[in-house]
Amino acid sequence: MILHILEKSLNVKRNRSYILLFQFVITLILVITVLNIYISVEKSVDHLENVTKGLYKVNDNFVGDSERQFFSQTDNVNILKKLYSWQLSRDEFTYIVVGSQYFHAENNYFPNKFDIFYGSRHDPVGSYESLQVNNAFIEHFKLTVDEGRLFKEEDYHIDNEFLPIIMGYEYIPYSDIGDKITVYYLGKSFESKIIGFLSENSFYNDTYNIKSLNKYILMPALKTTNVDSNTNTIIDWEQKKFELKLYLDKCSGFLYSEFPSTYLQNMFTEKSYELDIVPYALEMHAAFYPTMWGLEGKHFEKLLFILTIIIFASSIFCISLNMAAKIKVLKRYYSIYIMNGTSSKVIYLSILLEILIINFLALLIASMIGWILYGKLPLMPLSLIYVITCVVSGIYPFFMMNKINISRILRGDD
Amino acid sequence: MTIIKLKNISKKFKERVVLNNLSIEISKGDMICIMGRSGAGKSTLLNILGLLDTADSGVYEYNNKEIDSGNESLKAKLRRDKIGFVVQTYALINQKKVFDNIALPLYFKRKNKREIKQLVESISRKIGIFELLNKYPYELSGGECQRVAIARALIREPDIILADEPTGALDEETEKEILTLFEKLNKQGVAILIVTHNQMIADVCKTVYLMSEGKIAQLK
Ligand SMILES: Nc1ncnc2c1ncn2[C@@H]1O[C@H](COP(=O)(O)OP(=O)(O)OP(=O)(O)O)[C@@H](O)[C@H]1O
Ligand SMILES: [Mg+2]
Repeated sequence: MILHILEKSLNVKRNRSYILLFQFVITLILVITVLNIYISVEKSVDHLENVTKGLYKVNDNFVGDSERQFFSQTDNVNILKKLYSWQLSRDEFTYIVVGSQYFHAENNYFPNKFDIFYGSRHDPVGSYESLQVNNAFIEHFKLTVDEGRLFKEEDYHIDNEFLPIIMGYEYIPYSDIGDKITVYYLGKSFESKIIGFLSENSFYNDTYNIKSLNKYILMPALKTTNVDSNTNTIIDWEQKKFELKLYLDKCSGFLYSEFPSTYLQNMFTEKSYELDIVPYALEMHAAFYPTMWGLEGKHFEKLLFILTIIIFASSIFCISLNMAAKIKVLKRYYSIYIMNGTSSKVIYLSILLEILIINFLALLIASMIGWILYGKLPLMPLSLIYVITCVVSGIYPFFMMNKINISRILRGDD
Repeated sequence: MTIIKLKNISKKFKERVVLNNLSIEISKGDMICIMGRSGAGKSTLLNILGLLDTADSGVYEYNNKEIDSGNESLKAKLRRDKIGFVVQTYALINQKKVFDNIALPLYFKRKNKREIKQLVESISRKIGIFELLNKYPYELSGGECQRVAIARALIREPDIILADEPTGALDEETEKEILTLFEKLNKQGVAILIVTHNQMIADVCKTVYLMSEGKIAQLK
């Protein structure tokens, strides 16, 4: 019985059904779109908050004479090694290695746009921005690869046959995984090998700025424990010179902690005195939020949320109006049905079923379009919206059905 | 045998009393006519008899059983199986062929196709509209439309047909034909109640009521 009425209702005013379907689809697509923006904004707001809050830069304070003196003593590398392993072992904070030194490859291996000096001071010299990082860096800035892989435990050993490197996203067209490049790093030459490419829009917070990693080359923070035992040869001296620079770079990384800054600074000051070096100083990272239409982070989120609700509410309103118009047209038939043996309850159920079906079709279509447009769907909110739409658009017809005056309709007055 | 009995029915629309403590009884074989001024409440009474409307107070009995006004599904079932309704405007569905219009109550009853076809064809032969089955209502004359409506009322093999000014929109010739049809049906045992302003119909009916001020008085 319900099906008979349903078929009738769908057939008699077919274009109305199409309009309804269209409205549902548009609503859902708008909602999907806004939700997608909302979710990605929320994610980046959260992410940016994460990469800012509790993050400190560790600065060395070697200047002038003290610096020269410190570096003339290659054995001082042992002090830095002690500091470094102390940094790694503390429970109060997570130590993040972010060593920023140039990578040099011969013959302008990569296009000029990657060269740090190109365009500013010099002709291209084949120097590229690089970071030596540890796993804490990768985890903290939530880095992922577009191709290949991230660093594994064994990649961090200095005496590997190849120095594994991960390239920024923009390097993809110019190189491949497995490519071998001879590079110079802190005056030492390495045979490097590309093991992966970062995902697009990978970034890190360099204390003052959000920096895209698209043009960066990442290398593992190298472990050099094996050279400690030897001491006096020339080669050892060269090696120690390299290590000194390497560890100086490693020790000035970031740390992430929930402890107060003064407490952390005191720890570093104490440790520095213990090692008899100029105290390392902590510096807080600047906070960043994404801005759009002049609105910052959380406010922008709020605006999007309100926008979603407004779109949703106005769509529901339109859908209800359309539903009402449909019932107005069909109520003569409904009266005839009632006169011939149905009840208004059954008719109302068929209207509900129709809403359910049309809305479901719309959900399918909108999901398909949403999938094509964005490659992902906010499933939970979407199913919630489906339920709410069905319920809310069923309310108005309910009141309309209760107001139907059969005798007047059959008399032709209404 | 009593089909429908109304006891002390009252009905108000806002402040206006339309039916005032009215009682009426319709039995098998009856052919009743109700007359009265426009606005007297005739259609209201008919709608209550046909379970399309509910009285404010009073008792409705069908086959001597009281029908609870809240029992929508029982009421729908009685409308589907026992009570045929015919109105001045025919109440046909224009987008459906005559065949489907006549078969409507059977669709709600979920009879099978073959049975429906048989029933529709035999009824329409009886009423003389067999040739119209594949046409649409808008292609028919008023008299033909009313015959289709009557066929639809008959297809459920009703105990009673309630007709609200069934000939109000027809010329005199057609009116006579429809009236003859009603008489024929009445002879076959269907109780008939006609609301009309037409004296000719009143002359034919066995019982005539006059309705005024919410009450009815028997004239014949
Ligand atoms: N649904 C309704 N809401 C409000 N008032 C109504 C309604 N139905 C009928 N009325 C009023 O009740 C009174 C009786 O109406 P009803 O249709 O029963 O009269 P009637 O005797 O059939 O008149 P007519 O001969 O013109 O058909 C009228 O005054 C009408 O305006
Ligand atoms: Mg009337």
